[in-house]
Amino acid sequence: MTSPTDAQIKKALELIGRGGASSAYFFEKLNSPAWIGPLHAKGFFRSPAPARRTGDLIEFPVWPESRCLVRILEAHPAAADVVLEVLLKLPSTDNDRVLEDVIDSALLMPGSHAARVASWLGRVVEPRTALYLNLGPKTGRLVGHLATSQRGGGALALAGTLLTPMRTEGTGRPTSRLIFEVPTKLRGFDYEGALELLVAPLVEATGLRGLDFLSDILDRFIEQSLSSPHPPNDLSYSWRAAVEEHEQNRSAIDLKSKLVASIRDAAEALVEAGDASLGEVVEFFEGRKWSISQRIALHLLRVAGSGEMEMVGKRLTDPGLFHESGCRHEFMTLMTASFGRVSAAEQASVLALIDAGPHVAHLRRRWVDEDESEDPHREERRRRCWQRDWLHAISDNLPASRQEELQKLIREGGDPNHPEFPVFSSGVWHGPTSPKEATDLAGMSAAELVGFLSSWAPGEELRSSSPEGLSRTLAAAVAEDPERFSVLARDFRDLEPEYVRAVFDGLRQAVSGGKSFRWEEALMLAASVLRKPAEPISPYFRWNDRDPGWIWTRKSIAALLGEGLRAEECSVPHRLRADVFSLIDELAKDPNPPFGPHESVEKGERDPAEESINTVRGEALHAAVRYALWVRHELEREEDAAGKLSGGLDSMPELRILLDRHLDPAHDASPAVRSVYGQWFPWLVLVDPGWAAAASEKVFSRDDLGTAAWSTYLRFCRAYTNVYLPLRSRYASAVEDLASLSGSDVYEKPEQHLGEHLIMLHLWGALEAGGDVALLDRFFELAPDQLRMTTIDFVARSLYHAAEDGQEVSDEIVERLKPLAMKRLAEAEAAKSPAAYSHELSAFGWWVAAPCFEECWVLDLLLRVLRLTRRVMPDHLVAGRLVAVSDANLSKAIECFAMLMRGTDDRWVIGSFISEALELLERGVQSGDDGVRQQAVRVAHEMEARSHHGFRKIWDLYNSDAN
Amino acid sequence: MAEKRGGQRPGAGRPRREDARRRRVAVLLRDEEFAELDRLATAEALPLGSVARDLVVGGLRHAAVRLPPPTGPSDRARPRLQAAQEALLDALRERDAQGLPDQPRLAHIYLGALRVLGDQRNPDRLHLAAYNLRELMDFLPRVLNLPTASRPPHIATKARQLESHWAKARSGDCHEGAEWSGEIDGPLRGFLRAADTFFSWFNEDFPTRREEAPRTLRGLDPSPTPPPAHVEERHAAAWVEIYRYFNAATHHKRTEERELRESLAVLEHFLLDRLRPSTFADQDEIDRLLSESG
Repeated sequence: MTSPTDAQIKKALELIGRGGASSAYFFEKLNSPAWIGPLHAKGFFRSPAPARRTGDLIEFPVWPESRCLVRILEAHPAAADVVLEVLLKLPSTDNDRVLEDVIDSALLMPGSHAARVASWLGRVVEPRTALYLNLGPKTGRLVGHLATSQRGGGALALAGTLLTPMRTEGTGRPTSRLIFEVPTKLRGFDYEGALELLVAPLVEATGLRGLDFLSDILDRFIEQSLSSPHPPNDLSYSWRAAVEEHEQNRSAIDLKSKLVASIRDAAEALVEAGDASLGEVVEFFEGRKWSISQRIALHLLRVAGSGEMEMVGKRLTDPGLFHESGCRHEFMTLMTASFGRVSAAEQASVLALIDAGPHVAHLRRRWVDEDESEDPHREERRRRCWQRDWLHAISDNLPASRQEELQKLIREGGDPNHPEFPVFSSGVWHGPTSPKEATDLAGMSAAELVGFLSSWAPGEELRSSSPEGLSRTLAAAVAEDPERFSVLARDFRDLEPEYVRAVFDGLRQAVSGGKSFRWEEALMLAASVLRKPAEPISPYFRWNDRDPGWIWTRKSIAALLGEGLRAEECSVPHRLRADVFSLIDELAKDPNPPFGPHESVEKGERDPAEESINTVRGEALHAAVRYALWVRHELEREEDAAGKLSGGLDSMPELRILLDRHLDPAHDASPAVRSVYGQWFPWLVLVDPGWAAAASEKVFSRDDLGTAAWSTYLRFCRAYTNVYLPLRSRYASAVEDLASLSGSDVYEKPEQHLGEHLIMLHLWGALEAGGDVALLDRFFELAPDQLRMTTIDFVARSLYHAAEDGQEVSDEIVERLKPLAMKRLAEAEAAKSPAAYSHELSAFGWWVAAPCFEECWVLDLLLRVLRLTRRVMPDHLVAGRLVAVSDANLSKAIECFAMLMRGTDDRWVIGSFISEALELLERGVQSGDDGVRQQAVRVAHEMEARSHHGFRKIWDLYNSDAN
Repeated sequence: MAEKRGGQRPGAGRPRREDARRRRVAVLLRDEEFAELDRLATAEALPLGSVARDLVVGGLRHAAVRLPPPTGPSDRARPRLQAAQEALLDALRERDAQGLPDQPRLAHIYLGALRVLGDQRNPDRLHLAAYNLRELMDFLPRVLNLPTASRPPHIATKARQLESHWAKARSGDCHEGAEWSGEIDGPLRGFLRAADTFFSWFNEDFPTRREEAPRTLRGLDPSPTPPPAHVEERHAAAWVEIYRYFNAATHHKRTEERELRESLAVLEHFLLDRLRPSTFADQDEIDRLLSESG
């Protein structure tokens, strides 16, 4: 391999100096170790790119020079000397991507070299409080590499830097009252990944020294995690229930638990490989101060001590271990596994320990903690349970006489409940459950069903079946067979409210599902419920699976009526009109929601429209409007329908009274109720335009009630030309209100829809017809940028989707929109700061994407927009449209694309339209216009410089055509 | 001009200070470009003195890329531009067209500099050209929308706020006559705190040109991967150097055509490499170089 000449070095420097793309490419392609020395002498491979921090974000840029070293080493292992020399001269860096490259290099070096790199790495990593990317597992791999290369000292040092918890002032974040989280350089999964990679080779290379090292780290964790560390009590039964793998080990993210598993595996492997005897390893763990080490020793005896019964027997008969609850799991499982194989004398000793009973003083303290009540027999009962647990643990090897004793103890106190765990966790609650399935209920006779619902009482156990669960199951049964249950309805009237509610809920589900039933019966049951007192929910009510009186049932009735009046099929028969209205009228008197302003609505905690469908009177008003449409629907079928329909509310005077009554703030000042008028206003105009026009001032009054209606109207209704006329002045005042709109975030606010209404009214000519053309201008004048954006976005997005659905957009609409766009652009261009228009302008991307505008107009629009703002949305659709319109003016299309590309540094954004870019530039480079060809190739150069690859094709096409 | 001072051959026996400056500035220039300038200066009778022949017509390598012939309206007063200058002018025009209507036109500024530089009848042409070139560098971040530190225009307001603290401090017990003495009292403490805040703000929002240069160059470079740090530092130093040179020349410090043209050439190189990168041609050159070197 020859060294580059001075001229070649000089040429390289010149090429590298041409910019980031050239320099990155140079180091991507450099594959000869002969260049490293000369370039290093010229200052390369010396200054890693630093991490970039933006707010809370941290980015680790690629450093092409370090990548280059890894690649050269992969191809030329003999280059290890020169690369080592370079790496050892690197300054410390906070760029973890560079550190990854350093580790990758070290992994390709012989152990002696890798150890020197590891030493450098340790110094760099030591002061760090967090390591990112894949640094943990990679470092773990390097530790393994060092260990297998007979560099145990270096391996231990690097592993220590990586794994040892950080010393902190005070303690870490509490995870419980007694245990704190211990800070480490690596996040949980990375820590685990590093452990998996390094522990086995480390302990294999260093033997007990490695176990000692890992156990020291575990000790550090324990000491730092305990609020009050007192050996040997490490609370390990709570963070590592079993030393072996077990489903009770629930602290999956506890690093102490991960360390225990690693130490356990390493110790087992050490014994199995014969690198240390079981006795040595057991004694090693028993010599440590925390319970977890003792537990690991007991675990090892169980899994590997079958030939060491003397050692096992000695431990099983040790009273200290026998009564040590912190070691309970490993001790008891060892007892179960080994009792039958220890000597008869040792078995007798164990039985004697059991007969002697627990250390009562200790247990008594615990029992008192658990149950303060006085119980003279409790202590004896607990003692016998304790003996049952131990005898049960060795039951396979008990003599017959002791077996009888065990059975007696079980009869007294029940089966043991996982005594091998000091703390046993189980169970997850999934919601209210029912004592019967829906099919069970459906199979009962009426008398049986009513009898069961009347007599069934829930148990006292936690998570047992509840009335709410039964109610839900009953509703499902009703929904399945509404006809049968409607017949039975009258039998339900004396049941508890939650079961009566279930009937109405089930019938509503049935209506939604297109099933019919006997409405008369259902309405009779409803009437009987409405005769009961309508009491509001007490502020002290706490749900305990029982309904708070009849209020929820009343709401269910209102919801059923609304559903029934809406349904085309199986709707309420018209002969029941009087009964239906009577119920609605009664429900509309319900005090829920309060007749005055509601605190939660006033505070803005609850939206009035949302409140309306969650209250009895709100639902009743919804049902009332549906009643109007239901009646109207019936009138349409009658003779002289036109005449009757033109009478509007005259043909349903009962409803007029109800609507007028609840529109009177002296009677009903609930914003939730008023919002119902707003939500249904276009339909009220349909039913009776005269009434609606006269009531509009009241409905949309300028107070809080009217605002609730107006907001709901804007959000729930689209614009209608016939509705605009009675609301002209309200629209005008809403536009003027924009002047006082605070905050820039308009999403989900009603004002967002004001612009949508106005622009649609403009497109339909309604503003023009009403002499209100200036209203839209005024809207754009007063609306903040984001609100203007939603309006501009809405209209073009609608056009785009209309085209996608195959709908044609009329020329009239297009011609109305184009001047609007030009007007908005002219205003932005004339503005002092186009930044004040950035959101609005970005939304013109949808205009570009919408296929209804002709090509040349679109290109001019986009060029003007991109001059003002660098970004339009949605970029990928705009790019696609650029390809589509490029026939009209290829040069302009490429120019627009170049501006789009320069408008963002986000690789993902540009990445989303790479194929469109290639297609466009390919068209450009193959065009007959030399200027366009050069333009295309310039953009291709720039795309490549921006690290978007695949554009060399354009360059090749350009050159082949030129030749 | 330089001939007058000794009539030396280019590069021979220049003052040491100039050599250092030239080394810093000419980071992008190549030997063959110097030679080409000699040829051009002779063949096309560029208005250069003998020292000026040592200079560069920027971006000759760009001429190797298939660039369009000079286009535009025929204008007798227009200087004869090299292909690279045409390319740069075209690139600036393109960026101007993509900018806001009321923004300064970079292409006009650049072309104006070249015109006035070529106008031998104008006795002040060097200073006027330098003025335009400095303006060009100043306006680049704004027109090209490059990331810059914010420079709020209200430094005077901030200074006045500081001044009010200063006035209070002067009226405090620590200040008597023209002397300051004693323990720090309340008014002086208030001033010191205000001064601390002021300078923190100032340092953050008013970086030096040296601090700003890397940001500008990185913004100009389309690549998301910056060049090696020491290369970037050298470029930034050269950028600041030529800016200072144009600024000094603008203020009628002694200016020689050779130096001005040299700085102009460096500026042209900087801009053309970044605004019109010839990425694939560069890659081909790199491939050739690495394959030749084995």
